[in-house]
Amino acid sequence: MTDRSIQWLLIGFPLAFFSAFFIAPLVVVLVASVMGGSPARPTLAHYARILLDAYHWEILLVTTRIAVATTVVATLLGFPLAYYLVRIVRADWWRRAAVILIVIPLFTSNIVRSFGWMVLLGRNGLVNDGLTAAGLVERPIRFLGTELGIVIGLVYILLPFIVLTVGNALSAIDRTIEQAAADLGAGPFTVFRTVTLPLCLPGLMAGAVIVFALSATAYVTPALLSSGRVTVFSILIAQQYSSVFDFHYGGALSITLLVVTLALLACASALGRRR
Amino acid sequence: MAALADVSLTVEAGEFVALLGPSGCGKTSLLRCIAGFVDPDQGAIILDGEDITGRPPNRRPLNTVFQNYALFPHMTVAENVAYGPRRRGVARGEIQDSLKAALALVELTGFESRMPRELSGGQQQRVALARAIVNKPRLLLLDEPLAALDLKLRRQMQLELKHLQAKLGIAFVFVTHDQEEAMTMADQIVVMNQGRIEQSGSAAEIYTRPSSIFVADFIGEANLIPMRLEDGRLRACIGGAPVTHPGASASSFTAVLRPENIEVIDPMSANAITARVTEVVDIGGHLLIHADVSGRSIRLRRLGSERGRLSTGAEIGLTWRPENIHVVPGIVP
Repeated sequence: MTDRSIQWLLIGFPLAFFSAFFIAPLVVVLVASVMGGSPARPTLAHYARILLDAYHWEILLVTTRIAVATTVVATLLGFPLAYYLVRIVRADWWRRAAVILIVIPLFTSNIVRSFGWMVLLGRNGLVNDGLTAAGLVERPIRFLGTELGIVIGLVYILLPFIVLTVGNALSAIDRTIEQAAADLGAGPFTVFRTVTLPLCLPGLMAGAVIVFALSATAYVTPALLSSGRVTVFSILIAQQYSSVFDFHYGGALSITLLVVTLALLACASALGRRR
Repeated sequence: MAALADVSLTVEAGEFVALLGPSGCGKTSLLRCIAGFVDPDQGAIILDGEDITGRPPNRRPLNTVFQNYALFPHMTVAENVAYGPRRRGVARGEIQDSLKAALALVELTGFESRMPRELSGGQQQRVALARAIVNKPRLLLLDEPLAALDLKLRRQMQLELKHLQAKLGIAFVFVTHDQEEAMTMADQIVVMNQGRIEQSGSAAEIYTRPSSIFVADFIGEANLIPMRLEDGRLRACIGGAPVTHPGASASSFTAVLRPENIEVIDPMSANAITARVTEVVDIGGHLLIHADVSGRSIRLRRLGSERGRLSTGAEIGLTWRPENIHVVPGIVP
């Protein structure tokens, strides 16, 4: 077999799969978003409707805010957790058990987990009961139907992605490089700041990109935890497709979310490269 | 089992010391104790009269060159070398000057903005060296720094390192398992085995007067010949069957006879020990000869010009000067 035919064998199947189930639907959505009226002809009316309406900008802002908050919180929780698992834990059995505990939620349905959070975060849920019993709050905090509740639910679901990518990056660092830094006069914190952190930054960035993309486009968790009071962009899209049946307007919303998410990620990676 | 036991080592200012031994002998453990990466359970490490035992590595006035160089992969050559001075809060202008001087010393001027991955092994080695000596440490520790280089480059770096050390006047403690490397570079060679120091001294001392069977066998090639005490005189158990003396069983000795000190003579002459050549290896200029003396294999090293009478199977006579025999305690199996 020639090199070229091996190449086609390797790439052919994934290419066919992605063309059929990703690129083709995307093209359908894109085409629908720029067609309108009857008989149908090309128009940018749907995009104008979105971009000239403050309501859509508001929802875009809420969506971005939730995604950024989720990414920041997941990173702040995930990094120490990954550091603990890779660097501090001595017993192999405990490290393995902890990794399994972190990964297991990924095997459960998103819907089940979100319902679980509804029970936990409700007015008389475990979290509020615990907080009032401990005397930390006087009245129950409203989690459901707030952005805070959605962020909590998303962080829980997306945390494994940060822990796994950062953990991978951390365990790939050659420890003698950190010893060399200490040998040259760097204290433990300076070693972390100048060597450990920069060296696992690519892993951290990869994890953050995954978390951001997944939380900006998440549907199930925001839909269940918002109680209809918070609307994110994906909820808006789902309404158009499943209740209103306006595929043109829905398509334009989908493309808008895709473009905005990609643009934000491009900005973040440009910022990361400049450093 | 302890990694190190009963180790006492003194390094004079500006001295080049090589820690030499087989892998697992404790030489790297000793180096890591001095650097501060591990703390000894007992004993003290004293630098310039100051006890630095238990101090973290960042607060010890010494530097290390690591076996795999351990350069910071995300920093340029200049940033790597300036790392130490910056940690000590040296002024910016001064850092620039010492950076320039350190890079000039290792002949890497012009490589400031390269990344470590863009350099060859030998160049990375020089950066690691520059990164350490830019701090002007009192003591520089080197953990097999040349092990990853090919033979030719290694030989060249050995001499360069030695000249550099003499020029800077920094004391070097150099870990190696390569005896030739230790002998080329070091003022003092410390031979280690199983966590202990077997012997320390100059290359000539260790080669001509090894203190134990281990040192004799580890340094260079040696014929180890069991000896027995007979009527108050030591006799080698070779070329004949000496009668064992009943009273001398407790004290056994081994003769160390270097291959180049064995002479080949006519087997018929007096004092000759009769031997049969079993193998001749030409290593370019020299012949390595294995000869059988009543069941014991003896190695000799002769000049290539003697090839004529040293063919496999030939019967030869061996002799040596008494002063070339060195006796160590213990007995070889």
